[in-house]
Amino acid sequence: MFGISHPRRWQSEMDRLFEGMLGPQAPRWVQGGMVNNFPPLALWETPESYHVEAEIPGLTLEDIDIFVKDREVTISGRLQGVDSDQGTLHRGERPTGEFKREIRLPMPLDPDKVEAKLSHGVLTLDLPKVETAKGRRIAVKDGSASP
Amino acid sequence: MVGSCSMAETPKVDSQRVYVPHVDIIEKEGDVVLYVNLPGAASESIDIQYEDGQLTIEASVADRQSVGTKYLLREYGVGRFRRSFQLANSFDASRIEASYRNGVLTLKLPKAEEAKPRRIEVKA
Repeated sequence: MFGISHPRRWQSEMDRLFEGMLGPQAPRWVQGGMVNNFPPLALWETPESYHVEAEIPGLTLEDIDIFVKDREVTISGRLQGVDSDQGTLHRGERPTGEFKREIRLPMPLDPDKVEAKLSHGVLTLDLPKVETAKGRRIAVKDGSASP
Repeated sequence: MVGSCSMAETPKVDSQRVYVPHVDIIEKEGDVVLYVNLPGAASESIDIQYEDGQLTIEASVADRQSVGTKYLLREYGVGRFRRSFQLANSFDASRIEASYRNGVLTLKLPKAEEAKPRRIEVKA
């Protein structure tokens, strides 16, 4: 054939790569059909809300289940992998399968006001705290000024 | 045709928050398709180069939160994606197709015509 390396040589090259990168035989993150620690999350807080961001490429908002109750947020769904009839899989690093992340926040959330956005595979959740949980700044009166 | 596709990677560049994106690579009859996870990248920020058998995919991702954000949890970094492959097969560079949807880049590399098996008619 034209400029194509010997299959066995290719095999050893691939093996070496996998050993260095991902361990000898765990190219995928899936264990027992469940993807571990997917999607990766970022979480931060403002006085009014919590904000969760997740890197979740390959899905649309319709593919992602978001469940908010009390202080808990659950993000779940399923990542479709590449079909084996599409050809020979030389690398399979992208996570596939069912995923579920649960986040427990310190304060209760208002589920009716939750907003979800998805842009270029990044999910953003704005999770407003319930009114009573927000806290209020208390103005301190100057007691010495009163008669 | 199993094993006709050889790929060796160049070393990772680790300075300046460069991340290695996850890829799936599928080969069928010499045609290769790559799926590359580039979450957060805008399509115009993605740069793909194919030269002398080396395929390089790069994308810069802008910060989405302000600099002073105090994270309660942060399981990933945001910066630049970069990955490079040395491809042993020859591809038809003019017919390489790229599309980007929901943070996933799909790259189709059609096998170069001369590398495809061809039936040669024997004239009488």
